[in-house]
Amino acid sequence: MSPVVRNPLMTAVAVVLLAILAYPVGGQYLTSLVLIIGSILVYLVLALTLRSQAAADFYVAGRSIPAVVNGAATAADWMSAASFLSMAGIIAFLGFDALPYVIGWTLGYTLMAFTIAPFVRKSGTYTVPELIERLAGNWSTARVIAVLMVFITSLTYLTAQLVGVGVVFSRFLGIPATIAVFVGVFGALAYAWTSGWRSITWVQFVQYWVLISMYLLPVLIASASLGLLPIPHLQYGPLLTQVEAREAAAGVSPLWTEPLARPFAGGTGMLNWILAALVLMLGTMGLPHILVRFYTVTNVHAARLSVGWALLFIGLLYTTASIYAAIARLSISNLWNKPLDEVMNTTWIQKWLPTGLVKVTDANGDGIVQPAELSFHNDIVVVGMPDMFGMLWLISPLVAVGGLAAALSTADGLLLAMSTAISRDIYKRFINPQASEAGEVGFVRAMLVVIGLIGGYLGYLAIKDPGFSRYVALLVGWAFVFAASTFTPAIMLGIFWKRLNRYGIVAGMIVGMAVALPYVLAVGIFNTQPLVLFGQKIGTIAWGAVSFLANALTAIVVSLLTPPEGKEREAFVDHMRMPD
Amino acid sequence: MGLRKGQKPLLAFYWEVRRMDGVPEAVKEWYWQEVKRLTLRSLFYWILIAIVLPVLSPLFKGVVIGPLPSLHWYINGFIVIALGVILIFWYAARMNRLDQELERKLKEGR
Repeated sequence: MSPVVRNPLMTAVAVVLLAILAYPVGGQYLTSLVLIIGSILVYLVLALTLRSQAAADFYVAGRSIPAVVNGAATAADWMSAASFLSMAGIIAFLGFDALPYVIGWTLGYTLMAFTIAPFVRKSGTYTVPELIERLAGNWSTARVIAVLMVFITSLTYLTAQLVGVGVVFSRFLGIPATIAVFVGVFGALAYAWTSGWRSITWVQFVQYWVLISMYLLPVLIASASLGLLPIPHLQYGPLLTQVEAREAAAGVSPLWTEPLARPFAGGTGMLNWILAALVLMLGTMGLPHILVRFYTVTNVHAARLSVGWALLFIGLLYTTASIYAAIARLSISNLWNKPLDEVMNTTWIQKWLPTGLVKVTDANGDGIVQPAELSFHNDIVVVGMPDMFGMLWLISPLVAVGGLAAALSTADGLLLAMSTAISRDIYKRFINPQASEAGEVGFVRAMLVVIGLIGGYLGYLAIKDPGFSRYVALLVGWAFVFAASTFTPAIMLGIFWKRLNRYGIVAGMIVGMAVALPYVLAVGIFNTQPLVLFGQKIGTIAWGAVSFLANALTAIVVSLLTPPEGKEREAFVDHMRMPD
Repeated sequence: MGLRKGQKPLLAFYWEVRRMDGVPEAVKEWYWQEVKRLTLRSLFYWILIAIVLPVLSPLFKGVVIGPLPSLHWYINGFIVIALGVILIFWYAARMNRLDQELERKLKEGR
C-alpha cells in the first residue's frame, strides 16, 4: 500500500481507537476532543507524506492531479464554513428567497466549464495575475493590479473562515474563540507549508469526503425518522407541504415557500433575485483560489471533466441544504402554540438556549409560544439537528469535524492563492527574478506564515468586535461582486476576443471596481436607498451585474481606441485555444 | 514590454508555441470555429438552465409531481443543479470528440 494511503489511514485508525479509549476516562468531552484534534492530525500526516521542495508542486501541484480528485478538492476548496454551517440556515430563514445562493453558488461552474477552466489550464501560467499579465500583452501593471484584486477578494474570505474555525473549536472544546482562531491558523498553515498546492489538493480531497459524510449523516438519520428514505432528495415534497400547512394554520405570512416575498441582499423583486444569482455565478468564475485549482490537473481534457466532478460534489451539499432547512423548519414548528413551560423543558431547547442561537419569549404573556415568539439563528439548523432529533451524542462532534474540514480546506486555498501571488507575481517577477527554486519555495512558506497570522489577527478582531464581524460578513458576500467586476470579464474577453489589449483589461478592471465599490458601500454600510429599476430595488449583490457590464464595455471600447497588442498576444491566445 | 531579467520573452514563447503546435492555420481556424459554435450552444443551454428556468419557476407554484416538492421550489433547489452537471459532462464529451477529430485531421495532413 502506498504511504500516501497507508500513513493517514493508520493515523485515522489510531485516532478512532484513542477516541474509544478516551470515553471511559474523559467521557463525551475528551472523546470529542480526540476526534476533532485527531482529524487535523490525519490531514497533517497526509500533508507530511506528500512534502516536496519543488516550486511546481507549490504552485500547481506538479500539474499531476486527476480530474475526479481535482473535482473533490475544488468542492472542498469552495465549500466554506458558511456553506457547511449557514447555508441550510439561510434557506430555513428566508425560504424561497434564499435560493439565489443555491443556484448562484453552483451554476457558475457550468459557465466556467466552457468559457474559462480548460483555457486557464492550457495557458501554462501558474497564477491568475500571471494569466492576466499574459493576456495584457505582458504588461506588468496589469499583474500588479491583479495581485491587489486577489488580496481584496481573498483576505476577507480567509478571515471569515478562521472565524468559523474559532467558533467550531470554542463550541466543542470549551476554549475561547479568540484563542481557537489561532489554532485554526496553525492547522491551515501546517498543510500548506509542506508542499503548497500538492499537499493541499490531496488534503482537500480527503476533507471533501469527511465534510460531505458528516453533513449527510444527521440529515439521513432525521430523514429516516420522518420516512424520507432511501433518497430524501426525491421524497421531501410532503415535508414542505406539512410545513406550509402548519404555517397557514398558525397565521404565518408570507409562507416560507412563497416566492419573492422577502428582500434579498437589500433588494426586492424578481429582477433583483435573478441578477443576484447571476452575480454569484459570475463571481464564482473569477475567484482566484478556485481558478488556481484548474492549473493543477494533468491536461485540458481533465480540466473540462474536473469542473463537472466539482459541481456534482458541490451539488450534493447544496441540494441537501434545502432538506435540512425543511426538517429544521418542521422541528421548530413542532413547538408552536405549546405552553411556554413545555417548550422550555424540551431537551434540545434547553441545550441550545444558553448559546443564544435559539430565543424563546412570551411577548403577549399568554403562556403560549406563538411562531413569532420562537426565533433561531441560521447556524443551529446543521449543528443543532442531532439534538432536535435526539441523536447519539457522538453525531455532534462528528458534525464539528465536518465543519472544521470545510473551514480549513477553504482557508488553505485562500492562503495559498495569496502567498503564491506575492511570491510569484511580486517577489519572483519584480524583486528577485533570479531567485532559485529553493529560495522561491522558502519565500512562499514565509508568506504563508505572514498572511496566516494577518488572517488570524483579523479573525480575532472579528470575534471580539461584533461591528467588525458584521463588516467581514458583508465583505464575504461582496467578494463575489468584486470578482465578477474585475477578473471574470477580463479573462472571458481575453480568451474569446483577440483584439482585447492591456489598456482595455486594466481600464475594465478599474471601472468595474469603481462602479461596484461605491454602491455596495453606500447601500450596504451607509444605508443609502438602493436604486429602483422597474419598481424593484437593486440590492448590493445584484448591482454586480452592472459593474460586470461596465467592465466588459469599458474593456471593449478602450481596446478599440488604443493600439492592438499584435502577434505575441495572438500567439498566446491561439495556444490557449488549442487542445493538448 | 516591461520584461525583466530571467523572464522568458513573449516572442520566444510565441515561437515555442508555433513549434509545439505545428498546426496549419486553416485547421486551427476550423477547430476554433467549432469550439465557438459549441460554446455558443452551451451558453444558450446555460441561459435556459441558469436564468430562464429560475425566472419562470414561480409560475410552477403548486405543481407537484409525486413525492417531489412543488416545482417552483424544486426547480431551483435541485433540477437546475442536476441539469448544470449534465451540461458540463455533455460539453466535455463533445469537446473530446472534437479533439479526436482534430487529431485525425492532423494525422491525415501528415
